[in-house]
Amino acid sequence: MGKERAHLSFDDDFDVSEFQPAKKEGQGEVDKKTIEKVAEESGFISRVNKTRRRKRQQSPFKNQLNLKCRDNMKELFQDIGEYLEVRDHTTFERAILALLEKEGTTDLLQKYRDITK
Amino acid sequence: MPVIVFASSKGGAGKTTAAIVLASELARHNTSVTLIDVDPNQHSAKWAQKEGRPSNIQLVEKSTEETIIDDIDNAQAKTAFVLVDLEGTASMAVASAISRADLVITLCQGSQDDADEAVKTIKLINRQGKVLNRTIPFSVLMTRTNPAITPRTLKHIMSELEAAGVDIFKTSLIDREAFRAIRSFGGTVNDLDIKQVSGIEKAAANAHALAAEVIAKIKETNEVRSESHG
Repeated sequence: MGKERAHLSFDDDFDVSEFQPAKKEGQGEVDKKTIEKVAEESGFISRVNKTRRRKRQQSPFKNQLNLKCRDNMKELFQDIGEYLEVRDHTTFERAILALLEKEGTTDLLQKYRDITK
Repeated sequence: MPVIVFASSKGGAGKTTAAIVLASELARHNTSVTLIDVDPNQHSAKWAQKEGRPSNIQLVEKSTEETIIDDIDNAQAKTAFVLVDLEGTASMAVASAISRADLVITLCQGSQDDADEAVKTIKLINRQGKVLNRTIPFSVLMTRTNPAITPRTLKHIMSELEAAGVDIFKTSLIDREAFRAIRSFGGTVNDLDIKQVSGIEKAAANAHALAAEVIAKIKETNEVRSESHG
């Protein structure tokens, strides 16, 4: 009995010399959509979230103005808005603009334009 | 430049172990290998970043379904072999990698769940082959097998696959401590310390047999291709 165990023989070794780095010719552009379609039909789905969350634009109408008014004035104001098919804040701004234009107050009119631009 | 893709839509099937073992064995034969890790868990990358990775194995980490095609094409131009370790889910990355494969190795343990997922992957390969108008060679590699016994479930699965005409590797990846140890120590099976890990020679022989069979399959495919073109 020898002191060393027998080593395994790898005489059936394989040859990899024929495989060399090379850019494969003729692969062309893989039709990504075709692959995706086949993959999805086979239950293989994309992990990339393709739906982008739309960022809601912040409203410029952030400040509140409380006014005291006569009876039925509030309803009249709202009726104007309904007639113009706009919301209350737009009715209010259009009323301010009309007043400034009527009075011809240039500096205040400019201030209005700066605020609303 | 063969692209070898390890695919199974089930986690824990042995993709990473098989990829590392094959990469190491090819590297031992003085050829160059790129190991692309597409699994978000980056297990192959973790192995490759440990000490002892053969210098002729290049790592491409954090590959994704959006980059995998380019990663494969770039790697082919740089190294003789490209090995792709995919994540264990039915994802688009699997489909993209398969579209570029010269050989898809579908991993399967001796369980019904593994077999069902292997079949799912095989169906995808066949469908892709049809739309890409080319044969995508594939073979099932049984993993974590017991060298002494073949359980009835495994026998049943293998007979079902054979009956369906599915090619199965004659070599299986045997459940050996040495294959687990390289994930822990880094390096290859042949670098392990005999005092710390048992069964190194048997694991090395297993790795060799697997690599020899992979090479034989690729050469066979190439011969068939050249005959059909010639």
